[in-house]
Amino acid sequence: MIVPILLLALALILFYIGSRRQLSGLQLLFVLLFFAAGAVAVLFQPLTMRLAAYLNVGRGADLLLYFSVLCGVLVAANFYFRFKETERTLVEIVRRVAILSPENPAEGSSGK
Amino acid sequence: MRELLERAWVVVPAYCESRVIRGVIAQLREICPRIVVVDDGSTDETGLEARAGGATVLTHIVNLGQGAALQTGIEFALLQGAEYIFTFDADGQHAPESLTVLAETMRSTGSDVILGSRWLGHVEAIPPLRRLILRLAVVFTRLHSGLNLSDTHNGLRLFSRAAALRLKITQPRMAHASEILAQIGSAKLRFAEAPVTVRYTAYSLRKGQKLSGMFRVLSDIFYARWTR
Repeated sequence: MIVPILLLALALILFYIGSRRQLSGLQLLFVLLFFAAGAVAVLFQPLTMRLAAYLNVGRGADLLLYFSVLCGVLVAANFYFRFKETERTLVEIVRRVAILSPENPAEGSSGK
Repeated sequence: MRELLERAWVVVPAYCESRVIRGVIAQLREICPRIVVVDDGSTDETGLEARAGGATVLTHIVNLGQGAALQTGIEFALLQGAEYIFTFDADGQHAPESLTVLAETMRSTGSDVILGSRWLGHVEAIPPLRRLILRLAVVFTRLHSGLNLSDTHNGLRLFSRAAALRLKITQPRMAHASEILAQIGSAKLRFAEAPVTVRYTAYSLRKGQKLSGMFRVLSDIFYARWTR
């Protein structure tokens, strides 16, 4: 019962990503491969078991978990570096604006 | 020495310091007339107060951090033709007369950079935990940049124009203190320390760095090292 639901969810997410048209060709290919692997893992579960046994991991579920964690870390790292890059850009913009519009000391300022 | 102060700009990074900034600037002006306050996206009247005190004010439209504010002020001072650039804290913890001491030290040692040291000078009312953290920072700096200094996290500094041109602060937040020292080390700038007075007040302590900030600084430094 769970299998059709998972496949449907995969298809829906894929459709959503495709319809947004925000990914480059290479990224889209990567997502397609990723989802194809997901579908294979759902449809042919013995396959992941055999792959896990081959890699000395024990269970197919464990293999998938490790794989998911790795993907999660990669995505997080990607966002982190992009954030740092954006921060650098922001600093440059804010600095330019500040330097281009200095405000002189107030008239007759004495601070008293 | 007079001549040095006349050709200098003082860079004062400020974030939400409207209560004290006007007085700090007014006192500073009696020592060095050209002051640029970088208002780092304050939500209060810091900019207005600084102008009323007699400073030129640059405004970061959003808060970026002290490191970014320092770099903005230094670039502006260089554009104004500053021959010497001081950095000075906005919260009133530094004594304006210390500028004279820094200038004298630069004259007598011929260094490119003069760093204020509270341990060579006077420290008033420092809490014990703060003292411990600052001591740890000194050891850390010795390992990180190889510089042997008595006080590594003092906002009072003096740069010659040549030294300021070599400086590029990329750490927007508080890791800039270590970054500046690392750049002094790698650019092989001649530096010396000068005794300055640091006064800890209830105000400056509330505004100042907390212990948790240390971990942020360390993570910023390690990030920078990994991605260089």
